[in-house]
Amino acid sequence: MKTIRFVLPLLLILSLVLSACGTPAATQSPAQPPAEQPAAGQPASGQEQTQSCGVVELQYWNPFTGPDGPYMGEMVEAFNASHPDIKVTMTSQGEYYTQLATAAAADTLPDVAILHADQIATHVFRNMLRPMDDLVAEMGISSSDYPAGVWAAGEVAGRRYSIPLDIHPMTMFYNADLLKQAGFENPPKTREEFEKIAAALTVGENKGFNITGGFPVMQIFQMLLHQFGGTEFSADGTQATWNSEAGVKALQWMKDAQTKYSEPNLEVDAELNAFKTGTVGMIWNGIWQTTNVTGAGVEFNGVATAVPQIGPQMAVWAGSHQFTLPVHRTVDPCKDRAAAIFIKYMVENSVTWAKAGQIPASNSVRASAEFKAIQPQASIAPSVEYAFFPPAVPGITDAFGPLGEAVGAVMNGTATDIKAALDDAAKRANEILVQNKATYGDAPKAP
Amino acid sequence: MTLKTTRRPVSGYRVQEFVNRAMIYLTLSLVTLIVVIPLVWMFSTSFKLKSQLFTKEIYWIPKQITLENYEKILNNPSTPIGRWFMNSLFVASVTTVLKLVIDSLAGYAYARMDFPGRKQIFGLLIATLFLPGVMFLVPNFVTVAKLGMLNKFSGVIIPALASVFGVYFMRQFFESLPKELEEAAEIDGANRLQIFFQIALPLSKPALATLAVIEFLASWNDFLWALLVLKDRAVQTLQPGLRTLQGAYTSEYGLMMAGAVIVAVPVLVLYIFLQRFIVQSVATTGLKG
Amino acid sequence: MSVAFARKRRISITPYLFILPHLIFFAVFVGYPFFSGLYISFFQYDYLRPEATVFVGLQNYLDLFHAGSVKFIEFWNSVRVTVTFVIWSVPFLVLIPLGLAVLLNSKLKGMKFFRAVFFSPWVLSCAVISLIWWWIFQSQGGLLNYYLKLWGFDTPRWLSTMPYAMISIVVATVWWTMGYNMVIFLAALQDIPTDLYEAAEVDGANAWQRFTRITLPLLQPVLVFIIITTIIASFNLLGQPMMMTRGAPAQPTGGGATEPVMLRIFTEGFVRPFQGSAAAMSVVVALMMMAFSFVNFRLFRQRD
Repeated sequence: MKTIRFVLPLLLILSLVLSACGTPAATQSPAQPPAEQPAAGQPASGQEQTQSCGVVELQYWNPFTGPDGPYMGEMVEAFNASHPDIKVTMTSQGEYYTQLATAAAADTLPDVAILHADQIATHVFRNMLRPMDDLVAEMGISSSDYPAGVWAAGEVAGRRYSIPLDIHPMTMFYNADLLKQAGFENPPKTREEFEKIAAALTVGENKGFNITGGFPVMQIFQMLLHQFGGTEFSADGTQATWNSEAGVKALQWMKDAQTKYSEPNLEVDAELNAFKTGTVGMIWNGIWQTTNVTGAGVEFNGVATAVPQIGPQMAVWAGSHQFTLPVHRTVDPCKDRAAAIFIKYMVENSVTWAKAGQIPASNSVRASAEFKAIQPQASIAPSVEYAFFPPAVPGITDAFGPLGEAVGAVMNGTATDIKAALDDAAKRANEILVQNKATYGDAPKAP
Repeated sequence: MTLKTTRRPVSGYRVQEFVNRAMIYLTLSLVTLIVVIPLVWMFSTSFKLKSQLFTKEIYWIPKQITLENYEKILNNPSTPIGRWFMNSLFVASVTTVLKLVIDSLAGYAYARMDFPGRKQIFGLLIATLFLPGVMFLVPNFVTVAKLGMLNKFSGVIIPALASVFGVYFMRQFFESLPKELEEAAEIDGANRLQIFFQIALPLSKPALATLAVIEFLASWNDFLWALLVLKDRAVQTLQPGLRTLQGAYTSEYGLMMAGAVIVAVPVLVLYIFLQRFIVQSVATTGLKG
Repeated sequence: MSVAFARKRRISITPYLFILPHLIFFAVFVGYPFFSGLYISFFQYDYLRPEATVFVGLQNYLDLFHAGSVKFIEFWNSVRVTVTFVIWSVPFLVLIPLGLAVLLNSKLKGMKFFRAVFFSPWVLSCAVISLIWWWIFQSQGGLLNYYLKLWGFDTPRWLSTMPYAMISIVVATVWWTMGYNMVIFLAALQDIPTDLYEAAEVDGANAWQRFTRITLPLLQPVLVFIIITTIIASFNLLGQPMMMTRGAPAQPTGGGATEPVMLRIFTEGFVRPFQGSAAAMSVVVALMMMAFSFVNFRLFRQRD
């Protein structure tokens, strides 16, 4: 399940609202489920610590409603089986962030919840998450076991609010049959290779590289922006900076690639669907699409691999699922302790979760032999070293709204002046950042 | 432009009449196609393998008919469709019964009784029909939470009782009834409650049936509110459930269509059996407007 | 005297007892939220952060009229989208059902069958119909473009370019709800005494004259009812674009070309923590809806 955070705030809404209706099925995506339980780290201290508490019941929420849900469920069952003192009940929810917000209003938040990295600061400032510095220390989890960006996403106003579970990077999917026919054995790694293959595959009705005008086109832009040396925001999250030279280069490259290799004006998921007909050489989308466009999902040899490097430096867009402790009016130390044991177990066993199609966030898990045997995840895993995350300031996803509009407008041809579109979007985003600052303030309410 | 057939024995008219009829049937058949094709396409897609959704040629009848989509949905423990179905049935039934009682009482008073404030209160009710629905979401959510009705069926049933439509509908109906029977009963010394239960209500069976159908459909098809209030999988209803499905399967249109079929078939079957009745009932809502 | 007194008393209380059950629910779930919405429209307010509540007076309203600001652009863009939808959809939602009703009113065989078929989509939920049409309008694997291509027509990107995205939403909506208006029209037509037509026919009136001089005038009250209810329903547009286009295509100046105002309000109040501002938007939209309906009433009355 991917992220609900994308492009326009619209998308957000969309996925949230649904008034009488609604179903942006495509904004969500499945990751895949694990099957078995290698016993990684033993929470040695676990059993003793919960002894005085009796059997502790934990509610655990996540957005894994897809095929990944049952696998996460198996992990939870394995945990319950090995921890008689703790009983975890998992609930996978659609419309996840609406569900969390409404539950917060009624003080019925779960004891443990998965959040996407870029949602953490917002939820901290909206009084929905509790800092977990002490528990993290107790668990023996440290920042050194994680790529810096993904770890930093969980630190808000100097305190730690989350533990990363996985990283789901932008991934390239290619039709190996088409590549082979054109004489290419391997997928492209560089700009030159990419452009050469894309051009070679754009013949007749076929397209070399399809790029959509909807989700995840903004994420693709972000990735190229970083590859060309830019960033979306200033480090403190107060200014939009995507209208830099790097931004113009990135978007210009995308527009050119669309003109040369892609069908124009594709809507959300249309690039995937075209790929599935077997007429498209390559697409870029989240790793969560792996089962959808490879293996049994298609009638040709669809393969997932790391995205190529187009700009002068490597960067990969990625999202991340992280464990958090939601707010409750009364805090139960027994539950917190149990939650810590549970989270530690899940992180240490995240190689199982990797089988669901995600890349474990923990360096040590990624380095394990078990993980290295899992394909294509293992071959994509080096990507996460280059993953970047937005500044951990509240409401940052709202500020991406204008960027999504600008990138979408350029790709769909309703805006032709790239620099002007990015400038205008930056101006609007800055206004949103000011509004956010005014409403959220500088620091979350003291816990 | 009433297209009533004429009976003039002139052959020119006969030809004209035949052409007219042919045109009418042709037009209606065309519209029938337009109405039916999307539904057929939904069914067709729901029986397709996912690898065969995006083929270069379109198959109305799947190359290989599969129940895979249905099996996947029915076997996924995070989408207990059977349970959701029963929940929807329960919520819609209870809502409908309560609304019939409350709305027919109120509708009768607004139609037949004279009391200070009648016009003003009724006007106020009607005025709220002009308000955008979203403005009630947040305050009502907070209210329901405070009343401890989150995650309970009461949280969807009780707020639905506030709707004005049923009151308006019943009022329109009672106004269309001849007053004589009630007046006669009043002269015989019956009180208002007796008149209502013994005379007005028995006469309004068709209207009540109609309202029942409309309210049942409304409740069955409700999405957003049910989504906000019913969070636990065990108490969820079908529409939010369908949304969960859709969120879960990226561009797996076969699965989504199978979900849509599961949600749509009960109301379509209900419709086929009660069709005449439903249509009749809707017709009456507009007449007095 | 005691009888008269008792009778008078009974009359004065009983009606209130009849309306009370409904009125209680109405007060709690319509009346209260209305005033509480009005109230919070004067605050910066997030229900999850009561401590951050700030009285801002008319600021939330002024923001909506501050030309060039993001809120201004997004709000008025979404209003424009909704009004466009109303203008594009209402004529079809009135004329097509009227035409079908007139056809069905010809007392030929099989009309009940057609009536039943045409009405059937209305019983489906918005989620279901949006899903179906979304799939049909897909540029890849979509039914419509497949046949357009087969027959040599252009194949527009129905869901991601204008004006096609709006057309898609209108088509889905008309398909979904036309049966409802049609049935109401049909019932009204069937109430018109046939001898009126026969008399007109004897006087030599042709079909069109009979339609404009008899049918339309007699249909007028129903027509007004249908136009007003259809406008209100169209104003509340939310589900179809959410699910079919998600507001796409994006506009370079901000907002989505098919993002309706209800979606904008929901975003403001549920996705972003600006419930006060969302409430102010609701009030402005409510006023617009009332004005719109009022003008309609006046327009049609005058023609009488």
